[in-house]
Formats: sequence, C-alpha cells, structure tokens
Amino acid sequence: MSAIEFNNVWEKYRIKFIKEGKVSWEEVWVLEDVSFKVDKGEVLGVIGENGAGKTTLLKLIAGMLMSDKGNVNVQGKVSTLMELGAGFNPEFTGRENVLINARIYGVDEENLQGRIAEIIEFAGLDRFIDAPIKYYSQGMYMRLAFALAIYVEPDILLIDDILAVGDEEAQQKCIKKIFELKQAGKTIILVSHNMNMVSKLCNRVILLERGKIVREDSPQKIIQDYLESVGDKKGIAVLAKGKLRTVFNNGKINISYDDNLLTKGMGGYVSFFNPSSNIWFPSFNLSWQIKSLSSNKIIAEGITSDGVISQIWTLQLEDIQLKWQIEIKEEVAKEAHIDLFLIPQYKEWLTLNKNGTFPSFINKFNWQDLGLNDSPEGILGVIPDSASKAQNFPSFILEREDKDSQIKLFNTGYEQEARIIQIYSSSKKFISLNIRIFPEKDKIEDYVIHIRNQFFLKQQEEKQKLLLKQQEELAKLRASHTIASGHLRLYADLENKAIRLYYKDRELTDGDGLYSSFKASGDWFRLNNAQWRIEKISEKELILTFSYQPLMVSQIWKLAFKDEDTLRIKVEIEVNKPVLLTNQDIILELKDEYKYWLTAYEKGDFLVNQYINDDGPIRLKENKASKVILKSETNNHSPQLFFEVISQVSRWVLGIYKRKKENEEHVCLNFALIIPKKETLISPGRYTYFEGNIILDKDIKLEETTLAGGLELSRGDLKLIFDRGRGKVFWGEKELTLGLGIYTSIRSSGIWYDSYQAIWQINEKNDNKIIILGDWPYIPISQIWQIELIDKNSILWKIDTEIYEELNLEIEQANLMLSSEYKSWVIPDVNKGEFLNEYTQDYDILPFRFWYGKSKRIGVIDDKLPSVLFNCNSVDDFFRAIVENTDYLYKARLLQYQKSNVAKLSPKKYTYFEGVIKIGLLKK
Amino acid sequence: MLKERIKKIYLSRHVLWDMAMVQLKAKYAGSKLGIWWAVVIPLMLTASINFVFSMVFKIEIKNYTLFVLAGIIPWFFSMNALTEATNSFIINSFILKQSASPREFIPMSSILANLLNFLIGLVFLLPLFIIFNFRVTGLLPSLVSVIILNFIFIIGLGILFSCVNVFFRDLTHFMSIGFMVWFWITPVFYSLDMIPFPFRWICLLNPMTHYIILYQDVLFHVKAPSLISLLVVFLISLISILAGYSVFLKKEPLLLKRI
Repeated sequence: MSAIEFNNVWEKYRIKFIKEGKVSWEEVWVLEDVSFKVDKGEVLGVIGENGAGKTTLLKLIAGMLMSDKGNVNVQGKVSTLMELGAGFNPEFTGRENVLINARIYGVDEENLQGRIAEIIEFAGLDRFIDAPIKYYSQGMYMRLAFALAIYVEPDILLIDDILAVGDEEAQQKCIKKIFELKQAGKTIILVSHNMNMVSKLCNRVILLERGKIVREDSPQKIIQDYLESVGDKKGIAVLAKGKLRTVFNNGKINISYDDNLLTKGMGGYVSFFNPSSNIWFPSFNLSWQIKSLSSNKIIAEGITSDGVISQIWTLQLEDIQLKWQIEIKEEVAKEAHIDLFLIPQYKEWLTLNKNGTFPSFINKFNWQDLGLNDSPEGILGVIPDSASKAQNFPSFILEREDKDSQIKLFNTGYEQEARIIQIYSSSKKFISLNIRIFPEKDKIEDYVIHIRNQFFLKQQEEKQKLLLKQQEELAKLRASHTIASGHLRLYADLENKAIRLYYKDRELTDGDGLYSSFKASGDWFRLNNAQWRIEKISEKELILTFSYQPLMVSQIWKLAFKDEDTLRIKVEIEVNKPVLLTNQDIILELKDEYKYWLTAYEKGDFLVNQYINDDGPIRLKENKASKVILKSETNNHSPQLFFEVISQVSRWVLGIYKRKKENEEHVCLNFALIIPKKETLISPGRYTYFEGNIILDKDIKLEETTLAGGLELSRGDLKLIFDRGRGKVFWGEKELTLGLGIYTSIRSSGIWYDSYQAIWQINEKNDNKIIILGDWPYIPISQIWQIELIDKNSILWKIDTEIYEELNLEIEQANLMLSSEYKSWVIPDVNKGEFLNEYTQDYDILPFRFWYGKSKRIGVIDDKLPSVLFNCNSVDDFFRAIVENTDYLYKARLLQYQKSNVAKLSPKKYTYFEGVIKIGLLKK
Repeated sequence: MLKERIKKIYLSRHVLWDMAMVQLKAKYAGSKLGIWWAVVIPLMLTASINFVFSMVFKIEIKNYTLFVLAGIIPWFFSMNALTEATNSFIINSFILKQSASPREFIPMSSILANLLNFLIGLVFLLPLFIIFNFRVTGLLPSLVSVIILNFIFIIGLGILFSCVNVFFRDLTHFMSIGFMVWFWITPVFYSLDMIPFPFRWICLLNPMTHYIILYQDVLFHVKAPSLISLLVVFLISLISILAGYSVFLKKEPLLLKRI
C-alpha cells in the first residue's frame, strides 16, 4: 500500500507584484501534473534547483497546502522537520511545550509520557526541560524541536534540506536518528541539496525541474544527471566517452562510470596554501569559466574575487582515461594538493611496492591517515570490493606526472564515509594526473606489475649508471693525484689522507704511508690534521700543500720521480706567524714484508721483542745515520728500498721500528731532526723541512760522510777523534774506546740526554787542542768542550756548561766508555777487581756496577791493552766515581763521574767537569 | 465531503480542547492574578460604567450595576473571542504547518478558550445575581442554552472573520473601531426601552442585541426567555455558522497559500 500518492497534482501560486504603486497579480504553476507514489517504508529523495517545487511538494504532503488540481493521498501520521520549533511558546517550559505540541500532532497522552524521557535525553536538556523555553540556547531549542518531531512517532517524516540544528554534533546526532528511523521502516521524504546525504539515505530519487518530475531513478544514477542538469549555468561542463563520464562543476570534478558515481561528496578539487594568510584555499571557492569545451576536452579558468586568474584546469578524456592538469597561477601559492573523495565501495589500494585495504571507518568526523607515504613513480591504484565490482564499479589507477610528489590516503569519518586520495605537491605550480579506468581487477594488477618491472629495471639502470659515473670520477680523481715512473707509482690519497707508494701496481706503503709529523707549540701535527691541496705538475711531479689552519703553518711537498727508480721528496714549511717547532719527523710506513735493515754502520733484522705503546724500536748504536736500506727475503713484491736524507745530513736521527696497528704490523722508518733548543723558535718565512730520496730496486753503497772527518788530534801513539758529541781514543791503530767513548750525559726532569744527541760545531782547533760547542735539543743547555793532548799519554777534558733558561738538572755525568777487552778495573790505592762479561737487557745497570764511591781516580788495566786511568780534576766534592758494564747494546766498560743536584738551576755559566785521561801509565 | 469533515472534527475533538486549553493557559502564563482576571476585568468595567452613567448621566435603572454586569460579561466574551479568532490564522500560522487536525480548529480554539474564560468569570459573578434574586437559579437551563447559541454565533462569525482577515489584513484595524461602534449600538449599559423608536431598529438589526437582551432577561429581569426571541437567536446563530463555514471551506486552499 502506498503511503503517499500524488495523482496529477497541480499547484499554483498567485504572486503579488507591486511596481510604482500599481498592484498586479500573476499566477505561477509551482507543480505541474505531478504524479508519484511512495510505498510504506520507502525513503524518497527530492532534488532539484531552488524554485523547482520541492518544498511545495513537501507542504502538500504535510497538508500545509492543498492541491489546486489532482489529489494528494497521504496515509498515516506526518511529522515535518520544517520550520522546527515554530509551535513552541516561549513562556512555557520545555515539558509543557512538548506535551502541548505533541497533542497538536495527535499523540495520545499515555504514549507521550513514556517518550518524554527519551526526548529529554536526546535533546540533552536534563533539568532544563522544566525551564521556560525562552531561557534555552539556540541549540537546545532546536534539539528539543527536532526530538519532538522525531519522537511523536510519525508514519511519514518530511525533511526539508539541511538540518540547521545548532552545532555540528547535534546535527550529526539528528542525522544518525534519521538513519535509525529509516531502519525502523518509516516513510521518509528528503528534500536536500546535499547529494551525499541523498545518495546515502534514499532508495529512490525524484528530480524536479520547474515543477515537473524529470526523472525518477536510483540515487547513483539520478544524482549524476542532476549535477549535469545544473550545468546550464556557467562553470559546469560534462565530458563523456563510452561509459566514462566526468562532470566539471565550478572547481570540482565528479567521475562516473556506467552511470555509477565513483567520486563522493566534493569529488575532486585542488587546494593551495597561501602562507601570507595561512589558509588552504580550495578551488571550488573560485568562480569558474569554461574557456573551451570540445567533445573530449575542457579548459576552465578559476578566477578570484579580484578578477585574477588563479588556476587553469585542463580535463581530457581519452578512451578510458582522464587526464587532469592543473596550473596554479597564483603567485602566493606555496604548496598545493588535490583531494579526491571516493565512494566507500573502494576497498583495496596498491602502489608499486605496497598494497593494502582501506579499514572500516573508525572516527566520527576526523580523517584517518592510512599511513601511505611513498608511492614510487607516482602510481596508486584502487580496487572496489567484489560486491561492488559486480555492480560495475571499476578499479582505477592514478598516475602522477611529476613522480616525486607525495600521495596520501585517508578515510573520512563514518558520517561522511569516503576514501580520500590526497596528492600533495610542494611548491609546484603544475600538477598533472592521469586517472586510468580498469573495468576488470586482473587488468589493473597486470598493469601495475608491468609498470613495476619497468620501474625496477629503470632504477637498476640508473643505479648502475651512477656507480659507473662514480667510478669514473674516482679514477679521474685518482689519475689527477697520481704520478708514475717505470714500475713506481705514487698516489696522494685525499680520501684517507695518505701518500701511498706502489711498485708494479702493488702498494709498498701501509698504514699512513709517507707522512710528516712535527711538534709545534707543544702539539703534534700530522698530515691527516691538515687540509690537502693537490696539484699535478706533470706525469712525474706532484705538489701537495698541507695547511694546518690554527697554526698558520703549511707544508709544501714536492714529489717527483727523477729516474725510473727514484722518488725525490722535498718538503718545505711555510710559517706565517712565529711558531715554536721542537720536533720535525718524516715517517715511512711500509708493509711488514721487509726483514732486514742496513745502515752504513750496522745491520739487523726486525725481530723485536719489546713494544712500547705499540711501537717496537730497533736500538741502533749509531742512529745518526742519513741512509738506510730495507730488504725483504724475496725481491719480487717488495724490492730493496733505500731511503736517505740529503738536507742537513748530520742533524737527522734514524729510527727503525715495527708498529702494531689493528692486528697488523708495519715496518717504519723515521727520520727525526735534531733541533737545538736555541733554534726552536721559527719566525715567519719559508724553510726546508726535509729533503730526501726513496730509491727502489737499485744497488746503493751505504757511505756516510761524517762531520768529524777532520777532527783528529794525535801525539805519538795517542790519537783522538771527535765525532758528533763523542770522543774516540786510539792507541796506535787500536781503539780503546767503544760505542760512545768520551761523552757526557744529563738527566733533566727524569729524561737522559747524551752529548751524542747534541749538535756540535768547532770553535777552535790546532794540532793538540780543539774547542767545540754543542747545543742540546729539547733542553736549554749548551756545553763547550776543551780537549787537549797535553802529552804523549794524557788527554785533558774540560767541560763548561751554559744554562740559558731555568731547568731541573738532577744528574750530570762525564763518561768514558771503553772496550770490553779490558778485564780488570782498579781504583788506585783503594780497590780493584775483575769485570764480568755480562750485560743487562733491561736497562737495570746495578748488578753490573762493580764499584762506586768517592774517588778521583778510576781506571782499567789489561794484559794486552794499555791501561786507562780516568782522573777527576774538578774541585767539586760531589763527584762520585762509578765503574760498571753498559747494557747489551754496546757491551762495553764504563768509567763514570757523576754529580747530583737537588734544586732547580737558574741560567748561569759554570764549569761542569775537568778531568784527565791517562793512557798506559797504570801498572798492574 | 462535509460529512467527512464533521467526522474528522469529531475524531480530533480532543485536539480542539487541548488547543483551547493551551491558549487559555498562554493568556495568563506569567501573570500574577492569572484566572482572576476573568473576574476582575468585568467588575472594573462595570464599576467605571456605573460611575459614568449612574453618577454623571443619572440613568434611572434600579440596581444599575447588576444590569450592566449582566450584559457586559457576555459582551466581553463575544468581543474578545472575535478579536482573537480574527487574528488566529496569522498568529498561529505555525499550527497550520504542524498539525494534521482540521484547520478551523485554530479560530475555534481561540473562541473556545474565551468561552472557558467567560464561564469561569460567570461562576464567580453568578452568586451576585443569586443573592439579588434567588429565582435566578431556576433559570440556569435557559442561561446555558443562551450561552450555547451565543457560542455558535461567535464561531460562525469568528471563522468568517479569520478567513477574511487572511486576504484583507485591514480587517484587524477596522475591527478596533468597529467594536467600539458595535458596543454603543448594543444595549449593554442602557435598556432598549430608552431608545426612541425610529432608532430602535438600528439596535434590533444588530444581532448582538438579541443575545444581550436574553442574558439581561435571565440574569437581571429573572424571566424566562420567550420562544420567539430564542428562535430569532437560533436562526441568527445558524446563519452565522453556515456562512462562516462555507466561506472557509471555499477559501481553504487559497488561504494556505496566503499564510
């Protein structure tokens, strides 16, 4: 049975026109020959433009109007949601009003009493129900009116357009209630401009146009038609091709396929962000003009209220794909995004690397971010659930043209029930989008797989290209940092800050390679502390500049291959402000393949048993060597290596050691410059730091030119040679001394300094006498030695010391190191004894100290060698005499005088020692 | 169709009653004296008329106060009811939109509310007449029939006026002066005998005169109404209700569009 029946209903209005005092009446037909039926429990939507007669139709049903022609049959109690609360009397309480109005509606009292609690609850009035309505807020008033209209249990409910029931929450509550009523099988007539609500609520929709029913169909089909019928106006255009159809409506688009609307609510639109006003400005707020419309293309301009073109849209329909291009002209636009609202039938989504399903709606209004944050190649597909697929809802794919921008997915709240694809574009002025329809699900997956394969292929290619490019660049860089000659190659490794040496393309160096290390103003600086600059002069020459920023010091290394086997190293140092330079080293770290070392004086292997801080030094008897050779067992990979200093030759001290580094061992050669304390302050300028050669795989003779070549005194059989801080005594051709011979030793702040370490120069020389000056490195001391052969048997040794800065000086010694061929020692008139032929390994000399005490005469005697007597002439009582063996390095006898100081010494000049060495005068 | 209408009216009669009660309540809602106004207003009017005509114009009617009172109470009811009924469609347009009940209930309920108001006033004032002449009690059935006839007359006129008022809004304004004239030509504060004959027709042509005379007869003169005068009044009421209703039914669809 029909609840409502309209049979050829006509309804007219007489409208009064008053113009210049003249009154005229005009008759207007609001409804013309309207016929329809609504079954009980049906929900009918009535849509149409303003003035189409929707409200008149409702009024006729409500009985507020009577038809002029035809008849209206309404079966059942009608309640209207029109002009809510009009019947309330403000003087009465809410309860009274409800009762009064309910009676007017025709609800009997018994029924009402039961419902009034529900009404109060729904309206959220609480005890306000017993207050006069004039004290109500707008929201309370409207809620009460709504509640009343709903709870009088109408058979037919008439709803006119949007419910203006106070706040949004109240409105949603009402909408929810309406849905409940629908569930309860009430007949509902809904008049609305809200297509979303119409499509959600209604079973059937009537489209009214100028008082006539134009169409009557399911909401999905009719709403699209309606949106198009509105299209007479400006800013609306339709594209259709096959089953695909797009409606552009003033800055929004709707897409439908086979008469099914795929978009929902606002459809698709663009918003851009205006940072100056801090708002997102949606495209549908612009006024739109269709610039061009052809069968498959729309060009529309969105114009601001100032008349400026803000956006230009181009929509193009090709087969089953829609191309949507948006150009944002707005200067102020900073970011833009497209929102595309989809019907909730879309259940699955997929990108090239992910897929998922849309969850059910959990929030009421808030959007739920589905957490999609990357979509390779700008591709996203959506697939409807299987039930909807059967209804011809197609899958589709969204393709971004600018592939780097972001696509996000959202669910709206359950009140809105839509999926949202948000395409985000930062600072882009142009957005281009393809919507590609796939009527079958399998096809979309095939397509995605196809694109994915292409994508990964491309990605791989790009990766390879990049790698190749990087390698090329590296090679180029390497080439520009490399010089070569013969089998030799040198590479300045900027990345690891090391200079590396190759022989037959195999690296000889290891660890830090070739580098310098110097101590300036108390701190050590190495190449890896410096900023590198590399300049390739030729294929054989490289200039490296290292700047040590805070020091304002830079080093200029000139590395050049002179011959096929020779690397010439010249290092200069440029000082820009005065600096205290106390140490100056050059180090070469090599692979642990070298087994033997040779200097002009001695040779040895690398069997080291004692490491101090990972360094295992080789003790050299003669460490003032300027040349060294390393040999490996096989010459194949590690050719014989020759390393020499050629600048300030006599001032360098050679160090050879093994270095442990991260489970590896290296062989290290170290040249350290002796810098007398007096010379440590360097003023601005450019100086030579080091000059030397590395020669590989070539036989070299090791010959040292000694400074002491000419410093020789002789008288009869007695001969004395002074060489770098030590004196050697000969009797005839036989050397009586060993190792350091005549030397001095000082202990300052716990460290021993030998005269051998000092830099010596000749002050005076004649046949029997030399006066030499030695400057100590590290400590502010210099000594002047006077050595004189006073007769055929006696050497006078007089030492004056100058301290030019305050320092600690605990022990001062004057020593005579003698050959181990001497078997007996003698303290004349006091004691005598035999030497043992044992020498300490670990610097502990005491077990091999044979005598010590206050004496001014100590000596050695032997059957074969002339005796040696070491007399102390100093008046200083504090000299103690000592007779002992040296350690295992020299394996020599030692006669020694020493003196201890307690206090700090201030700058002064004083006589350090005076003694006489007499040869061959002691009798057994 | 008319039959259907009457049936509908009968079925939803409780709605009419509710609507009348609402209006009655609304009338005194928020006022201190409330329903007592139904007594106070006629008494005060009587007092003032008494002052003017008894003290100033020296009208010689015995117990003049009671005489005026007997006429002024029904007059007051009639005029108030008519005034409110005339405006009822406009004032209560919302009910038109909300209610499914017959639309004539709107003016009818206004009149009914006033009738109730009148009856309440009467209940309080009737003892005055009884004290004055105990025999009034015997005439109460006559009083009731007069009241019913009066009510029917007013309903007919009220529906007519309310209908006309929708199309000619001037009616409201006309009525404020119209009621004044009507009052003077109705023998409320004078008796019909006091008017010289040629002019008495003016009074007799006024339908209200016949109702007021009947009230005065019953309450003041304490005599049973004559059959002829009752018949006249019955005819007037019948014409009134038929005229009012026929106009309303004819104009109902148009009326809805105008409101």
